[in-house]
Amino acid sequence: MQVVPTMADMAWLAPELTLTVGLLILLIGGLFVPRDRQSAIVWAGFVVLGATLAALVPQAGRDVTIANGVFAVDGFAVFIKVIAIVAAMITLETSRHWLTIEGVRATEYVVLVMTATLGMMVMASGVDLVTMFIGLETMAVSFYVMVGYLKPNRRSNEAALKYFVLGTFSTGVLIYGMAWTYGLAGSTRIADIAIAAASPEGSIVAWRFAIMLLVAGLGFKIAAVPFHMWAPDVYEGAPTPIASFLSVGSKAASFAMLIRLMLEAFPSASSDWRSALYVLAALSMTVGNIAAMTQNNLKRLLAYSSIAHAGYVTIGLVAATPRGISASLVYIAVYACMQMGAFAIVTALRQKGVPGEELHEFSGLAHRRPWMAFAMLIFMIALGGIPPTAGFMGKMWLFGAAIDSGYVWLAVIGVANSVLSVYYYARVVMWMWMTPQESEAPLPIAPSMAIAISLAAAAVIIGGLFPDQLFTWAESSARALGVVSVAPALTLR
Amino acid sequence: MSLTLILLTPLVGALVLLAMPRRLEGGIKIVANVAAWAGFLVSLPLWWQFDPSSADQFQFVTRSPWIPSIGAEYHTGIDGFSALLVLLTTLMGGIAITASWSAVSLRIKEYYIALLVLQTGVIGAFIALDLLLFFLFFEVMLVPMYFLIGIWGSDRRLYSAIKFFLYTLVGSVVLLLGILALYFHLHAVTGVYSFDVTRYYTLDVPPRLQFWVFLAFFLGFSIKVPMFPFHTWLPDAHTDAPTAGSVILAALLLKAGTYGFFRFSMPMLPDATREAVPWIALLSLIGIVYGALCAMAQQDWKRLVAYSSVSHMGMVVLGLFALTPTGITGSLIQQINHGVSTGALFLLVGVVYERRHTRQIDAYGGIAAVMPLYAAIFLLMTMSSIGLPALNGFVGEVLILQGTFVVSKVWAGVAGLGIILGAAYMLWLYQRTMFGEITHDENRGLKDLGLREVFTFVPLIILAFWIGLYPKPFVDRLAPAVQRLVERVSPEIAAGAAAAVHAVPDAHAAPAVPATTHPAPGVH
Repeated sequence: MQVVPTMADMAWLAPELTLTVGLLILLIGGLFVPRDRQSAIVWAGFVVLGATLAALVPQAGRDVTIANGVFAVDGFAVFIKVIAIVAAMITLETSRHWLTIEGVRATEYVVLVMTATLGMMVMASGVDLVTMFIGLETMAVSFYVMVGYLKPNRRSNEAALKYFVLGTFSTGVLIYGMAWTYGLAGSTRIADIAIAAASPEGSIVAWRFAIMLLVAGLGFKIAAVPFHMWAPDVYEGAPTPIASFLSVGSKAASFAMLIRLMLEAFPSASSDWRSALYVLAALSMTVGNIAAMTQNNLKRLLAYSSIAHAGYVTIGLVAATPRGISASLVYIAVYACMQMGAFAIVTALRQKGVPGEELHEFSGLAHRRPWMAFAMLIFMIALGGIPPTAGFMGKMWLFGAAIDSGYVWLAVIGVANSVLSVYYYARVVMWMWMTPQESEAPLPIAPSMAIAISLAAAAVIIGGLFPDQLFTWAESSARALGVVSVAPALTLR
Repeated sequence: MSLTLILLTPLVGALVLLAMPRRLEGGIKIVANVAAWAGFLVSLPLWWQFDPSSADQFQFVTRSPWIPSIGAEYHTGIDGFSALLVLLTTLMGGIAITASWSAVSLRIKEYYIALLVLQTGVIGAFIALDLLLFFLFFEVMLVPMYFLIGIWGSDRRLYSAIKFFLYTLVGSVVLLLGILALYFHLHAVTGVYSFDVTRYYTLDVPPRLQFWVFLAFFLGFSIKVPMFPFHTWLPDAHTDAPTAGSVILAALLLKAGTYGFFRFSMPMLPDATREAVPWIALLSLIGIVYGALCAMAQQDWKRLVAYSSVSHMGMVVLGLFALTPTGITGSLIQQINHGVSTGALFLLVGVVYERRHTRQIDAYGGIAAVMPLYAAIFLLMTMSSIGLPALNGFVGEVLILQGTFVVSKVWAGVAGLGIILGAAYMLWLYQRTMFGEITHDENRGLKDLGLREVFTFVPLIILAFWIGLYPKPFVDRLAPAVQRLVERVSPEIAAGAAAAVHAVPDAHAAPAVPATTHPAPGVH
């Protein structure tokens, strides 16, 4: 058995290698950059991520498994990797402003963003439990550090500790599930697990137990109810750009892992995990949205909304049809734009001595910064799923997938939740446009920040008016997976 | 092309405004007015170029792929009814913007942008022939209206704005589920993914699915209309909205609901429609009487008009679901009438509100003495609203009553009671505000209508007389659409009804409809 990757395999690993080499150079080179030239490091990180993105281009439309069947280069992986890299780039763009305000060193920060991205890429491509786990840990450990990056800040420390303790516990649950799976299947490779699971020897209960542990472990990473408790505290305490990256990149990669595991390793047990995920989706949407209604801190509000959004994305996985998976992918991409855009605005409001994350600090934003308020309006109505934004198209397609595969009630729960969610998104809009402004202080916005926000807003609108490209791309990416053929759960016909 | 031009004119205006600096207040007002009235002018050819004798169901059709991967198209076109609604929209849009000239002084850039975007949404909803495209426009209306109420509203504007937003959103998301269910059914039957409305007109949907989809559509549209018991958002929204917002809301947004019934629910789900008739008639009748009684009890002028809308829209829905050619024709005409007369009534409240900043009815009285021209126009519109012969309201109400009478004498009787109550509260309102002694000194110095204000009323007065005296051009344009709908929802009377539609408003035509068309009450 050949474990060492061949040279041909190395060519397929070009994006990961580019990123790894780049981040190592940055790590060492960063030592020699003077403290007042920190923004050069951010630029360098941006360039490396751009190169990584470019290295992904030749992989589009390919479908190979390399390195002895533990690493897949397929459309699905490429889709998630693009989201992860773009999310990392937006994070760096918006961090520039934040790093200046907080006055902290950039080198380790940039490098950690990149290692987290590397972990996400490995998670997206892993078709072997160990590979996936290595990716997940690379990402998670980077985040543990980044969440606590503000050493003197007590909230940041508390968030880091909470995230670390709960995160390691959930990783323990996940690895325990992997151990059970390995014990039952005799292999860590997903292809082998699928074969073993199709004709299970021994207790079916043991298989179910293993699946349950895997779902619970990943449920923590995607912040699905009831594994969501950490999210609001961590998002609130973490540096805002990191909270944004955590809620988008980490979630996207964990979803990739969850989708691949469920669809490719356990297609034979689909009825089991679908009912589990059904409950998870319904709970996440409902609890997330109801809890978000009473939040007055925008980071907490976005945390609860991201819990709810994890529920929406899960709908596609419950449907488990090609349409369902492509809808989930579309929604992950759309969610990345709108969530990161909204977080970028919170970051932009952070000024010297002004936290800029309480709702009342948004009062009169439409007077102080009309374009920023307009962009925030776009993100809010997109998150609420109102046309003409990409948020609507994504949700429409998710609910469509649910109806198509017979989960009509899940779709009903979903739309009911969209209405609930509009209540608190509209509250943000109300503060920005309909309340007199509290502060006359100037609100300078760095050009890099303005560009990042405008691009995200433009993406949300264009995706809402002309979503065809996105739909087509997600559809072909979803087809890269062995999607379960499903019998409709219930039909109206 | 021409429909796209009509759709885009207000949007282009909004984009120009977006680029203008906010301190150019005069310029912003001029651009907004030009954009709105240009929108009316480009839509005007629809009146002449629309050909009622054409064999095509839809005219001015534009079709191009929009989201090919899911089968959604940019597909627009109009029949007689949507042609009239588009004309009403562009007219009321212009009027609403001109009427705001001096009424709004705060953040006027955003104000006019919101109005123009709103108008784009309304036009889009009336011309879309693709379910997804329709839904997109249907929801696009929500956000600008939320802003209009929330920023430029009065009193409890924040509460009313969010109430309006959430209420109508509930309806539309459920509507979306219905659309998706039909969409996948179409694929299951024909193997085609398409949101094309005309495909669904010939689709035979199984009864069980029809029932659920009808329920979903009903929730979506009846909240918009609004029908009892979903009307509670309307008085709040109307009362707190700025004048132009109320005008657009009453004249156009409510029509999106009844238009939805006409364009989607009824022809796509004919069996469920027939079964739903008794229930919908019941809700309409409750709405007619309850709305009228509530209107009678109001102390707030605008709230009174708002409740009268509930009553009148109940009438419109009743006529529509009578499923007789006469009733449907009356209902469609009455929708235009309601737009004209209620739009005018809200404008009239706006005129005195701008001068006195109160809507309390007892703050007025004896206004006729100081504002004679205003009183005259108000009288005319009051008469139009209560259906005085020779004015537009009469034509619609008679046709609705006639069309309903052949289905059920009780329904017609209750609806007639609603009309009497309507006369009572409107005349009482007129008496309390216009006649009598001037009890408040502030009212002595009130200025009568200015030239700009008169200009906003002129088109509405013309329309009130035109439809009242010579409704034939309107009825002719509606006839083919009505005929098609009747053929689909009540095929058994379609043959006999053809003559009746063309003879409208000939009172002798009604009895020609066989009495057997009475839909069986209750659920089969």
